[in-house]
Amino acid sequence: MNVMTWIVGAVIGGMVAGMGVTYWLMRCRDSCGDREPQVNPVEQQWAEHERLWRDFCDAVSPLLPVLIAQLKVVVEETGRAADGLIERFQTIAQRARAQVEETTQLFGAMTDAQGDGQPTVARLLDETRATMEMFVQEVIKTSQISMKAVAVMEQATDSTASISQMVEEVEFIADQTRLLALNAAIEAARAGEHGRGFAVVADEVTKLANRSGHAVTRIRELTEGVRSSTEAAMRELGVLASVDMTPTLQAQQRVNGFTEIMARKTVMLEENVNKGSERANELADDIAQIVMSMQFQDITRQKIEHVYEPLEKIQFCLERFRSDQNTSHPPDTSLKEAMAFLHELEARYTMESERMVMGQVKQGRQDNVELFATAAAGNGDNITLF
Amino acid sequence: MGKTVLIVDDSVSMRQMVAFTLQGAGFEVIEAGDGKEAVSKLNGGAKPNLVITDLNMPNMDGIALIKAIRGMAAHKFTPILMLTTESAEAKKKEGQAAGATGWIVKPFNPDQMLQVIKKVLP
Ligand SMILES: [Mg+2]
Repeated sequence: MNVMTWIVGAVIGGMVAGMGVTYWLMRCRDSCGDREPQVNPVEQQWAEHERLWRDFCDAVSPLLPVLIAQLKVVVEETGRAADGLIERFQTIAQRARAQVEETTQLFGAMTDAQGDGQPTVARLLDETRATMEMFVQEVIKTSQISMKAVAVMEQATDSTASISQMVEEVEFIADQTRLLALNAAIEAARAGEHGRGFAVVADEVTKLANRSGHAVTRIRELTEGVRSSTEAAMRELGVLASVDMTPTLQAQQRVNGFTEIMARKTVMLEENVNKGSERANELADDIAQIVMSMQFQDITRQKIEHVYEPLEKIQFCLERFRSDQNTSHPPDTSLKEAMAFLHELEARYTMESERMVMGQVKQGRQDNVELFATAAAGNGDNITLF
Repeated sequence: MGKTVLIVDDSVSMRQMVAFTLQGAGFEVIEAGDGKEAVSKLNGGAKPNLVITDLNMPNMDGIALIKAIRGMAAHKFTPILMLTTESAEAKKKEGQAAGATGWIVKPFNPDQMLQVIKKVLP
C-alpha cells in the first residue's frame, strides 16, 4: 500500500507543481501576446506544453474521484470484514476456552484433582482388586477348613466302628452271663432246699445280664445315630472341601484384567487431558497472534486515509486550475489552504514509518521505497512507561 | 470485583481487540469512540481504574482527552496508557507532558499489554 501511496503522491505532486508553472506561463503569455505578433519558437513550445497539460488534466480530473472512491471502499470493506472476523474469532476463542475448561473440570472430578474427597478412578480400581483378592482368599480358607473338618470326622467314624466292635464284645459277655445264670438256676433247683440261696444269686445275675443287654442295644442305637450324622456332615463338608476353585480364580483374573484395562485407560485419559491443557496454552499463543494481526485494519486504514486525503486536495486544486485558467482573478484562500495541506502532509502523518518514507523520497531516494517502508513499519520500540 | 478499564479508540476493531484481551484477563470494560464520548462517560459517573486511549481520533484526540481527564478531580491520578500507531519521540513527549502514564505502539501484543497494565494499576 505504501508504494502505491508514494508513487501516486510523487506523480501527482509533480503534476501539481507542473500545473502551477503552466498556469503562470499561460498568464504571462496572455499578458504579452498582443505585443509580439510574430511566431516565437519558445511560445510555440509553450503552446504545445499547454495543450499537453490540458489533455493530462482532462484525463486525470475524472480519474481522481474514482481513485478516491475506490480507496474509501477498500477502507470500508476491510473495516467490515475485520469486524466480522473479530466477532467470529471471539466466539471461536470463547468456545475453545470453555471446552478446555470443561474437560479439565471433568477429569478433575474423576481424579479428585480438586480434593473434594470424591473417590478417584485409580483408588476405586485398587479397592476392586483388593476386594476381589480378599474374596478369593476367603473361599480358599473355607475350603481348607472344610477339608480339615472332613479328616476329623473320618477319625470320628473310625472311632464309632471301634465302639461297635466293643459293644458286640459286651453283648457276647452278657449272653454268656445269661447262659451261665440259667445253668446256675438249674443246678440250684436240683440241690433243692440247699440250693435256694444260690437260686436267688442266679436270678440276680440274670437280671444284670439283661440290663447289660439293654445298655448294649441303647449304645448300638446311639453309635449308629452318631455314625449316620457324621456321614451326613462329611458329605456336606466334602462338597465344600472339594469345591472347584477354577471359576473363582477365573473371575479374579477377569476382574484383574478389567481393572488393568481401566487403569490404562485412565492413564491415557490423563495424558490426553494434559495434552488438552498444552493445547490450551498453544491456543492462548494463537489468540495473541490473531489479536496482533487483526490490528492491521486500524493501521492500514490510517495509511490509506493518508493517501486519499491528499488525493482529495489534489482533485480540488486540479478542478480549480481548470476552471480558473480562463479567468484572471488570483487564487483564493481555499486553494492556498489545499496547497498548504499538500506541502505539510507530513505533519498529518500518524506513523513514524510514513514520515521515514517521506524523508527518503524528499532526499531523492525513490528506489527501494517498498523495502524501506516494510522495514520502517516493523520498526518501533513499542512500550514506553513515563 | 474486577477492575474497570475505559477503552477509547475510533476504530471498532481496535476496541474489540483490546476489550477481548482485557475481558479474558478478568477486567470490566467500558468503550468510547473518541475523546468527547470518553469525557461524557466520565462526567456521567464512569469510574475506570485505568484509561487506554488512541491518539488520532475525530472530535477530540488522545492528547486533549488526557488533558481533560487530568482536569477532573476524580481522575487526577488514574493511569492513562496511549495506544497508537504513533511512535515519534516528540509525540511521546507531548503525551507525557499532557499527563500520560505510558505509551504503547500498535500493534500491541496482548501479553505485553497485560504486563504493562499490571505495572501501572494502583
Ligand atoms: Mg485512531
